[in-house]
Amino acid sequence: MSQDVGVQVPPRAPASHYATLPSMSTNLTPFGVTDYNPNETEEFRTIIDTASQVFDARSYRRIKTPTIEFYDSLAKGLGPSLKQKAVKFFDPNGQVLLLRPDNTTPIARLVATRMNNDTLPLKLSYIDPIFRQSTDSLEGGIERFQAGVELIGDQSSSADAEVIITLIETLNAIGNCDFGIDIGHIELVDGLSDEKRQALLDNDYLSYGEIPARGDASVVQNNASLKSLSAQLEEKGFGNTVTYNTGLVKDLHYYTGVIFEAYDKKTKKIIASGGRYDGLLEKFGYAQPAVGFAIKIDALQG
Amino acid sequence: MLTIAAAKGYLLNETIKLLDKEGITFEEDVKTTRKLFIDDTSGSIRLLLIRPWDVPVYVAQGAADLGVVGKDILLEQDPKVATLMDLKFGNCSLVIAGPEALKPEDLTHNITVASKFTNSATRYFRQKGIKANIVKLYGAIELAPITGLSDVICDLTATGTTLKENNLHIIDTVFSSTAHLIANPVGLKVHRDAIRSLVNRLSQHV
Repeated sequence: MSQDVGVQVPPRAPASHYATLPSMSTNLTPFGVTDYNPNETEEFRTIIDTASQVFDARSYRRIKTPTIEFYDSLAKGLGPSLKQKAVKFFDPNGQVLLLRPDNTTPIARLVATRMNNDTLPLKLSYIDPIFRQSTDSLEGGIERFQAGVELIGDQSSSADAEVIITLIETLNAIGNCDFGIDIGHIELVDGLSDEKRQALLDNDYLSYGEIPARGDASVVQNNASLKSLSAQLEEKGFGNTVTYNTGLVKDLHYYTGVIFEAYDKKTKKIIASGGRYDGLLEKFGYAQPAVGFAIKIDALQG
Repeated sequence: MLTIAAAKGYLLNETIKLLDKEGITFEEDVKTTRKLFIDDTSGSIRLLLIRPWDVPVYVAQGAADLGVVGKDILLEQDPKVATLMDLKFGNCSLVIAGPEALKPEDLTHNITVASKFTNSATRYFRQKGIKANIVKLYGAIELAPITGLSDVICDLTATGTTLKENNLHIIDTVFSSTAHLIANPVGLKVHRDAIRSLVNRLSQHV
């Protein structure tokens, strides 16, 4: 149906996504992407301009990676979920291409290749869309705008704290929602069977057996890096914004340490997500620890 | 205040009974009211009285914090909600049923299946490697084989009475279902203490 633009139609898209559209119309955008008129763009710009100001003030330097990448190149860093959800197509030589399905993996590729002699730690920021196959409007369509940072070359929990504080400062500056942040750690869910892990990913606490402990830092005092992180957040006055969650899990495979997500208490949406990924740059030939987050700009709009 | 999306019909009656055991009561008769939502006498619970198929939607979108709905609808819709409890009432099964003459080995390629549960029916026949034509209907599914619209139906049954009345018999069971308590994943963070306390209270009666 959309061969002329080389984008595959999502395999499970219900007919209803297309049913009301005249089949030969050329004035419509495909399912999952949209135009912004001046008013909508103004709201979008206010959010990204504010995010940019906070990132700049905290010395994160903006970078840009291309929208289109070689599948074989990014696949080194992508897990099964992103490999499946990436929008793929062919170049004239038959090479498989994809639209970037996240920002962190291309940034890891860039840092490992053209920036591997730069002074560490590197503080980088980006404001670019990602593209994922989707048939669920709750997931945010196919093109999803993100703003985020990556802090590369610092393994300490002060780097975790710096990134989480940057997220809090950015959401405060944008200022359009009452948010909270859940913090967990890969080690807390590492020993789980595949079934238990999947139950947590599905929020299926009936199969999991209980609702995992969640509360102040006392629920994670046996985890050294979270203990240190919580002390730093407390000291800097951010103790009340964060909650520690022993059952927090992520669909993305590359996380290795602290993981976190921000949610809007009113709209009940997840508005940002992040964590530590110490193994990802090594997949591209440059072993460096790293931590970062992405804000879902669409979830903050409207 | 916690907002609970409750499926109207049999599950609602059982939900009211369960809440009543914990002293959560309503001034009006919830079963006969024409209101679309109703608050309990203490003002701590609001029940949304909606169609079963809409319950996961209200919860996934965050318009309700909790929901009471059959596992059958959760399996059919695969909504992004947290599952908290099996409430163990509202037992029923999704079955493949057809005329008495049909045997399990007659479920072969190009069979036509009438169902409201098209996702579950599709999944069932794909797992068996059978190419099936799934026809979506919204009610009176039993009429489909009688009129020749379909060879078999994939439908819910609790007692099997309606099937028998229409000379249909069960060929296979797709899954069994009971009512479940579901929650919005972020609502579970925001109202954690209230939801945990309600789950603990209800657990004593399940």
